[in-house]
Amino acid sequence: MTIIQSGERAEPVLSSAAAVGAPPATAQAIPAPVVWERKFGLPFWVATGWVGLVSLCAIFGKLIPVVKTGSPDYLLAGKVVEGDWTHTFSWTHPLSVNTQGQDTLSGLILGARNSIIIAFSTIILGFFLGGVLGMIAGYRKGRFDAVMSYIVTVLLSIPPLLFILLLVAVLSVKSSNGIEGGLSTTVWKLSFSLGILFIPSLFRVVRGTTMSYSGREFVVAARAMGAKTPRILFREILPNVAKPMLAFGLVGAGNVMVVEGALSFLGVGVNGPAWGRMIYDGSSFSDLRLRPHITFIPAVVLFLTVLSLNFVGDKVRERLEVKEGNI
Amino acid sequence: MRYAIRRFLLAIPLVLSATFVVFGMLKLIKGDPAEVILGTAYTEESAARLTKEFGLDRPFIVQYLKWIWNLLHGDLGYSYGTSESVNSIVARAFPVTVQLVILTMLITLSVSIPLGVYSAYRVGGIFDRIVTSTGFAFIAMPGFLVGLLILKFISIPLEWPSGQYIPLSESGGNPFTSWKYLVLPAMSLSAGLIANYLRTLRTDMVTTLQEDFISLAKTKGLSDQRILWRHALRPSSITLTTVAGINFGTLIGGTLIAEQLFGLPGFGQLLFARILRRDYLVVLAVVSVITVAFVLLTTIVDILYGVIDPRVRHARALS
Repeated sequence: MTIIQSGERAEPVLSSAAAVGAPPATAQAIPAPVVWERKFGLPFWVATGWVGLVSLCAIFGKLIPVVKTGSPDYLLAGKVVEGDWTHTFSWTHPLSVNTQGQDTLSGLILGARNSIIIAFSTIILGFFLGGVLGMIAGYRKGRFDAVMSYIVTVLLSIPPLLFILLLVAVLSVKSSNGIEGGLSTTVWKLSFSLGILFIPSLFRVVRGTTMSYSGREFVVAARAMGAKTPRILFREILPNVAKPMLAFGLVGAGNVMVVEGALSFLGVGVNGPAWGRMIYDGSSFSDLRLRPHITFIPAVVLFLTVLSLNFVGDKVRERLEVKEGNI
Repeated sequence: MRYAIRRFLLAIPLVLSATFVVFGMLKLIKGDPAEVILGTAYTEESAARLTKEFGLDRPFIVQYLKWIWNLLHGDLGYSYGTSESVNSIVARAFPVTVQLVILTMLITLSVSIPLGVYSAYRVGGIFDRIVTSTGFAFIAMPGFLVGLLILKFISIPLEWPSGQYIPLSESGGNPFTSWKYLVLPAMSLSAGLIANYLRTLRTDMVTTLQEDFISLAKTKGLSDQRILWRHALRPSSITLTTVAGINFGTLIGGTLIAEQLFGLPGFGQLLFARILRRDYLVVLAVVSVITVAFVLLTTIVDILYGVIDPRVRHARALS
């Protein structure tokens, strides 16, 4: 109150300054952490919970008691093949089985491991290489930036699915006899290929953000104080660039999952359980007509996971932008 | 105009670099093409002869330059697998993919523009909220999932023809015979794109509708419809054009999957079949055609900015 009174008596310029100063005084009544929790709302926590659940499945995998690694259930497989799939849901097979009698729920849990590992290691690799290069290019500018930006433009001008197909082929084909069974590959090779695929776009994001920060006062101040380039990059710029990277990374992880799903759907994915492969397994015309659950259960799981990642990433981005606006 | 020519000239080194990367990657794939060509008839002797005949023993850069030289003469070489000319293989698959892309773009634009305009017209209204949240769900939906849903709920119950294709030239003057096989694949591709375009257009429309010239138009007593379509849409479509250009790469990826799913003999099927058989010249040709189309499209989009927004044109003239 005293502030406002003093403001009334002072010059108009000062009174407006007092009015700007007023909101923090009222905002102090509400502790900051409560605002953080309240702002996201229920859908955000449902989405986070789903991603958490999928991650738990990925971490524990075979240790989860419902996972069956034994021989397939041929009796149920017979029922499924006959089109009597609605009666194949039971406590032992909560999500039924496919035409080979393999348990769908187990496949989903084991596939989650591959999906999550690939999604996050891809993003981490992409950010590590794309991010470091992007930060250097955005900060140093000049010739390094010009060369890197040109390479990125070239790589981005090759349509992504074609690029990843070629990458997988380069990394996985061992000899001319090795290609008969398709282009299946290992989790780490696929992550590496996808990581390379995502480097150009991550490079651009990080380069742009770094550029907008490299002219700011605190960076100029650090340079004036004699800080070396690595110190400025990692101590001054990185903390600021990290926030948009986090949001972009979550949405990016969703994108990686879609690409990975598409690849294993096309038979170019990982060797082992994969959601895309499970979706493909039931995608023939007769399967779609008579036993749609084989395709649609994993498809829905993939869809929900990608939707959740996008949603969480979107909310995080919204929040971070609001925060930046307030500063 | 000078700007347009300069942009096209800049596209040439980009195309060359991109094909060079693709060429290099194909060479990096392990295994000898001669083995693939000869199959069971493989002997050391004939392999050596073939390698020489195809020029595979020459240095990498010579092979690339020779390929470019032949390309400039309109010769893409001969398939390793079937010894058919690559030109005719590509010419057979090309129209399928092009038709699919065109149809997809038509469906996408004719649905997303009205939806985007009207959801921006009443921001926060029921229509806007339904459209925005449905769009968000569709962005997260992988293309092949939409394709499967269409197969299950439209194609199979209606017994809509799929799994085959009749080229335009053989349709006997009735274009519908050819297009009807492409409608459902195009729909599956456009679902995600519609959501994307819609969101982009809506954001820009909301900003445009707050500008002074819109208030002026309202004060002049123009109808809302006229303001929306004649005054607001054009300045709002710049980002949409950019997104459409960038998304072309994703769209091409999508067509490869949709072609597999719906059994269309386009670039997708060709690419998958040939990459596994290591028929490099065909793969190289397909990837190059797509990349060139992509680069050209990005260039055209860049030039289009000036056509859509006079402000951009003036800024360019000054620089």
